[in-house]
Amino acid sequence: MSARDQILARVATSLRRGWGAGGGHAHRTPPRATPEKPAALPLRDRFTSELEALGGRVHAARSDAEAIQAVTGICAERRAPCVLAWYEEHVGLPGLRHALFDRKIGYDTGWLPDGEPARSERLQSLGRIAVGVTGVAAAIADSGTIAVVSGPGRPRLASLLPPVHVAVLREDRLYASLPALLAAHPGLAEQGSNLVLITGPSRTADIEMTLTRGVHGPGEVHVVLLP
Amino acid sequence: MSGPHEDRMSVPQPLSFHRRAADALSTPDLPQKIERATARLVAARHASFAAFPEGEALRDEARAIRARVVGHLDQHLIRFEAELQKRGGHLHWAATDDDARRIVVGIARAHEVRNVVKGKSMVSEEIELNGALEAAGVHVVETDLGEYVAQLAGEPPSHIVGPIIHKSREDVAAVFREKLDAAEEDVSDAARMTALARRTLRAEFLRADMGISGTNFGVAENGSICLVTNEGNGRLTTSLPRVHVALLGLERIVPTVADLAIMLRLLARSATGQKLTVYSNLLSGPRRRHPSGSEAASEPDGPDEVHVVLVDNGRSELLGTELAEILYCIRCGACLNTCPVFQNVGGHAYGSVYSGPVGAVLTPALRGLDGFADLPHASSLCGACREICPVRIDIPRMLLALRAKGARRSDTPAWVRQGLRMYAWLARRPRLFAVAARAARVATRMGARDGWRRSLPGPLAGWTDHRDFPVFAPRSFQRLWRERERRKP
Repeated sequence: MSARDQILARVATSLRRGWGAGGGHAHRTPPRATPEKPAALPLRDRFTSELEALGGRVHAARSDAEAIQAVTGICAERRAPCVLAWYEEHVGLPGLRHALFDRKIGYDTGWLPDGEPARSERLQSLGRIAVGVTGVAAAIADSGTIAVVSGPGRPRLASLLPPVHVAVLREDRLYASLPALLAAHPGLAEQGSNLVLITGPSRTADIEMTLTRGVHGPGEVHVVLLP
Repeated sequence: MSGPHEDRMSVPQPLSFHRRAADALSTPDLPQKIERATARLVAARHASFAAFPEGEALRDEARAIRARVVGHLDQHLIRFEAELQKRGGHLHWAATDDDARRIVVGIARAHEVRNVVKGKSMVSEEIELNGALEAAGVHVVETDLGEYVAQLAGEPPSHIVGPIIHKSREDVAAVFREKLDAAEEDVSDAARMTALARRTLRAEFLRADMGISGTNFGVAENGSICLVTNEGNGRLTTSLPRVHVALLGLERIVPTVADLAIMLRLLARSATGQKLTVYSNLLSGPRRRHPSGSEAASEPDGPDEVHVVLVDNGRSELLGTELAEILYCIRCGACLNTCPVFQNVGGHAYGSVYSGPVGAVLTPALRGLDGFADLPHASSLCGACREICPVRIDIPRMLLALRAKGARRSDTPAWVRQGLRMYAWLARRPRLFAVAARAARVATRMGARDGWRRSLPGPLAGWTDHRDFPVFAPRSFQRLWRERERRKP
């Protein structure tokens, strides 16, 4: 009998003993609380205040041109010679690549080759890039969260490896809460091998409960918010 | 502190938890460090739920989800396996810790792995994986900051969520100085130490051939595994190396992504008071490539292979028993933080990977009472753990069940068993009980001052070594009850 069959058989046998089957024992539960009232703030304001409370930054842009300016500005401030970015159509900002080229900023879309040492050498060079640029599949106002899905032209590492992550978000992709987001995009987790909900910059409090940002992931998260 | 016991013939040797707890209590500053950290975590948790009106209803829902999964675990596992395989992942079934170690070492060997980066995993601690990998010549590095410090210091983690809450900033600096040759300016504050760890570990990430992570939840409907971290080390571990191995406790399944969302919201709030953990990472199989090999149609990164190792190691034996409910646990650590015993002694006193109230049930449940018979006694039964548990696990009930089991064992001192038997006999005879209570009232008042006795005679002296004993109330409960009944019209 394989380990699989052995374990499954043991599970089935144990479950037949019946203690606590289907719902466990009766346990006192307090009365249900009233459901949360809809947020009084418009979604974009709520999203902004939640993300900024976590140490992220929201750059409100009125047009694509303003959004491009925000992205190039962040790169210029850090004197980044190159960005690790999604394909322009997935970032959702037509003209971004050109605007960066005009400022002599390279645009690396992060393809990892197979085989060594090509793969590790490539990782080493990607690891030196200071700014990552991605789009956002959907976002959650009540927690300041962005949902980012990997896929062709959408490297995972763009939101992970560089110390600065710039994400471009359109307002119509904002939802009030995580359940609302999932109800609107039931297949979101199916769109790539990796769906990540990002709620603020990377942080740790392991040393004496002192909050420190940017321990492994980006210490800076910038969301460029477009109408 | 355990000294006086050993001189008394009739008193049992203090059990190992008591010894370790006594050590912890007498370690300078340790109880203060633990208390400070746990108090902050509990305060954050309470503040977070106070601002979350739907939280109470969600806890009921989460409990029902966990109960459904645990009650029909075989069906959920089969579904999870099929969906994972559909997306190109491999599932390995490990009946024991030994099987799990062999499977992981086997995967490492097959891929000629030399360097492993690890995300936080309690199951990996449970199966003592690092030692097995090192014995196979593999270099293993923990990447969660707290786990990394614990690994450098050669200690096990002392808390499910905060592995080094028993260490001060100075303690961590000393570890970095000794093990990493850290310069003074790199250890002058928490931020600099964190930056040093980032630099050191980033190099490990970039050269690792294999990443090993734990799993917070496996999702049956799509074969995804979910991994939450605040630091991002979980994402790096599962995205950079060629091979990703995820350890998954047999019971850590949720049926759907919608169920997962409920768990994630409760987990973050219960653990640290956050609305969501910084990275809730959902992984569905390896890097997806277009059959044509086209770059534009394939994912640019991600692991080429994903292996999920499903670890039983005693869990299936708990199903259908009075201890099955402990399998609802989602490992938030809230019961540790709120427990008055844990707050004073910390995690190491429990002598097992899982500490605190959940560990006091889980450890003897999984590994038997041998060597762990004292853990169910590491509780005042105050019920704070049940109160705070996001899935409302009745931990005190199971602590009592394990104590009862333990009391029937032969290694319980004869005088304890005899005493309990006598009490049971007396308690079933109301008149005799009343007489005995009156006698106790008189006896406890002898030598008492201000209503307290400093010491009790004979085998009871162990009790008063650490606290005073209150004299019996002047009027018994039975008498108060009779009077109350008489006053009724």
